[in-house]
Amino acid sequence: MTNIDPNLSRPESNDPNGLPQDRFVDALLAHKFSETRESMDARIDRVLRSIHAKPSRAHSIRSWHWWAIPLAALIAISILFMPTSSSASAVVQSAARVARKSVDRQYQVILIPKGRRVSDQPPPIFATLDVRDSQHMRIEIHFQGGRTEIHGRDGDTSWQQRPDGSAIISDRNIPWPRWVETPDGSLLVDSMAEMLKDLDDSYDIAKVDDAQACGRSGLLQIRASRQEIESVVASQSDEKLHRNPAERIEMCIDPATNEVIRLEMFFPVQSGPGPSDQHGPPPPPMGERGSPPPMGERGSRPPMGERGSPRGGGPHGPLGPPQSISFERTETTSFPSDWFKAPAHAVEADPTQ
Amino acid sequence: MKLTNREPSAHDVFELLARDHADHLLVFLRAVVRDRSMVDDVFQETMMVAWRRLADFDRTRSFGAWLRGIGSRVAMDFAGRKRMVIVDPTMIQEIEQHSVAFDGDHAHAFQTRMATLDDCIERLPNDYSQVIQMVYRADLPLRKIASNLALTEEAVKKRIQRARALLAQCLHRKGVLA
Repeated sequence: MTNIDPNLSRPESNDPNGLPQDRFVDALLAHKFSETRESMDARIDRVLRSIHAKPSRAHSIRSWHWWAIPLAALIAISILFMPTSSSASAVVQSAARVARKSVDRQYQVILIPKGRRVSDQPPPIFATLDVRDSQHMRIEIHFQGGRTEIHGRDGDTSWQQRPDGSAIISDRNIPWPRWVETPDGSLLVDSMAEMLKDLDDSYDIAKVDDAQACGRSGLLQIRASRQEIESVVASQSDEKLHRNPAERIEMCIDPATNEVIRLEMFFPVQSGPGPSDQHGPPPPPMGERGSPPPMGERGSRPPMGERGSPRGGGPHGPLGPPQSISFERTETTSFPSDWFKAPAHAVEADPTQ
Repeated sequence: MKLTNREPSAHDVFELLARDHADHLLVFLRAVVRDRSMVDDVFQETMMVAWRRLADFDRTRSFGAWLRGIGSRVAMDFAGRKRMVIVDPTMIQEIEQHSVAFDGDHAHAFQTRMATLDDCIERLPNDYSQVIQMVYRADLPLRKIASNLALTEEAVKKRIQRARALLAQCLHRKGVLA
């Protein structure tokens, strides 16, 4: 966009409480990003149901029985005196058990990359992760400029569809690469059950009380902090650390279902090559791998599943893990039966290349 | 709604109109009412009032504008009951002026105008489109955005507002904002 009015650079207000135009644009943006055709249809359906429904207020008041108030008080007292630290691990274990059930789940994933330089913060990368179980996953990664890359796993078969539409089936001898490389850092792609498995005794797990963190009331917020960060960062050979070097993991868990509604991982600045060794231009976007960066400058970057790279489960990209990755559960129905299969036009990867 | 040979009932007509104008009404109410849960209640009540008053609707006028008129009265009524001040009537009138410019009086027109918004977002400089994505798409809290971008919360607020101002300029140039 050009022709920017310099007067607009001064702060007019902090929140859209001042200008009607600002409020209207704010409302347009909120609508654009928060409503779908389905959610709007659901709103209208609610209206139509209400039109046909009889008033139910009196009924709802009568339905409060005399014992409801003392019972509510008892529950409130129980919650107040619930031991927070000792039960946090139990909550995570319950969540892991629930996550292991084979159910179709969808998560919105946001990767916040590390800045290559102080003044250069790359934009976030958005993705949609569909999971049935640890053997059936599909992630659609949306890059700036409308480019989309898809990675999938259907049992033993792993595949990748590049932004240009071409698709390859990975060498079956190469395990599912837990970390998918993006130009702005590696992205962890795994089932929620596997991610929760990372929360072993190397983490301190505790309930925290942060009303804002989960974005809605009624969720349990759990924080897992890795113990002795400095020694952990130093021991890069540690296999567990290699699988997931997150130093802090924040979770929002629905206490009624034990489903993880939100999980966000924060990675230490030191893990992986950081801004200090970033010289030269940024790496090419995914799917535009015609000219690999010179060796020794950014390191080699074999595309996922195309070579026999040692992808044991850790982030291998030149930038290492990003600043943070968040997974947020979204409402979804069951995926089609062939959802996780490789596209029909996918070809077997050539192991000689 | 199934199409049959029978004459459409008032209910059928209302459903069609409601579905066509729901998006724009919701945008208008979001601009007037800041509280998310209140927006949902005001939307529902507005539609209910519109259904009860459907016979009063003058067919020579815009259904969208009529719906928003009901919406603004319902919003003021809700705010009064909760002893909240949302916006003054002058502000509502000005928001309505922007709505009229955005109004195509048809759902398809609304989607076209939203595509214009997409185009404007695409044209934003990276710093601004990034913060728009973080606020509206990812719904990240302000302090998290500030920490991710290594900015103060105040600087983030200014960047968000500047991004919206740039979008408003762009929408205005494309003729979809007053």
